[in-house]
Amino acid sequence: MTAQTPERLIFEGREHSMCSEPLGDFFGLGGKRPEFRSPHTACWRGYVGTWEVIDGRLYLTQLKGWLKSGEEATLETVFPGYGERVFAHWFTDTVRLPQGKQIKYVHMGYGSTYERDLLLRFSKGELIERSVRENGTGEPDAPEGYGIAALTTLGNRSGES
Amino acid sequence: MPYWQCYLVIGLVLAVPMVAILAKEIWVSLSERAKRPAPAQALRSYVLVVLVTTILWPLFVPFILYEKWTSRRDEKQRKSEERIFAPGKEDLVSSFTVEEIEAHEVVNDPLGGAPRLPFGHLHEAWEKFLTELPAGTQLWSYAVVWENRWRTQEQREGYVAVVDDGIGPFFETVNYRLEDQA
Repeated sequence: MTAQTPERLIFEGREHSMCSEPLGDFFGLGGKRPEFRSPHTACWRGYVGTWEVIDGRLYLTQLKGWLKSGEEATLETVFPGYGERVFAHWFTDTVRLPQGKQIKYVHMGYGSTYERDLLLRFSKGELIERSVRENGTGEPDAPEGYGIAALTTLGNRSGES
Repeated sequence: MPYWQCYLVIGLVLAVPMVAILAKEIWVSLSERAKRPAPAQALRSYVLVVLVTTILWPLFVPFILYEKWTSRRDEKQRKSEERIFAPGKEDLVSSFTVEEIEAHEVVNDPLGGAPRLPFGHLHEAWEKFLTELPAGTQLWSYAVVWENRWRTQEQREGYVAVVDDGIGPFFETVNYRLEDQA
């Protein structure tokens, strides 16, 4: 397995890498999942979402997905009629936003450790708690922010790669 | 049949499970020693096991019984680790009518990011759940901390059908790992 491409979250005017997948919860709770395909080994889920916290609520505002049919998936593909934003009312969990220098790289999932994690806890899509978890201090020459060391690009049936 | 013949027949019968139990160990042991599979040596070992078991089988009965017991226990444990979540009676919280649940679960987003329906974007899944309910179903909410096969605790909540004291299909609304929480 390869380290995975994070989702993006815009929170208090700043864009963060988000090591959590609220859309996965939607599919897990019974939401219809299009037939995504993995574009590369760093995105097995087949999509990358952009999320935003607006007035204390979590919204999915953009979606770029790769479908097995060769077409690109957008918000409209998963949520017809809601192409501008989707309120993540199904989401009750904590999202992790890694910050600072990398302390330990793990080439699997979201396993790498960073100096801090900003943790945002949501209940039915509403932000109910925020906290910061300190994980230690990175080496002076350690990379800043979330990163993936390597990935393999995968083709699809229609020949796209 | 004379007594000594009966004794040897029982021994011969018991030699079969003995060979089955020891076959893997013998093969691995010989292969490791010879650094390669050793069929001739393995065959000699099996013949020896059959002969010894046939003659001295009363000594091996406890061993065979122990092996049977441990393999059953391991199988039971493997099955329990593969278990799939389903709420139990002890997880039930309160009973509701469909109307009460739907009134409580309407999603109301001021920015219009979800349909104003019970369970919002999951309304279709809810409707499908309702069509699958057996006649005479009573709906209950449930909440439970469940340990999955990786020994991770999950908070799981939702609604479940209860029919004649039995647990039916369920509609999950919350599922998160407790160790990830802030």
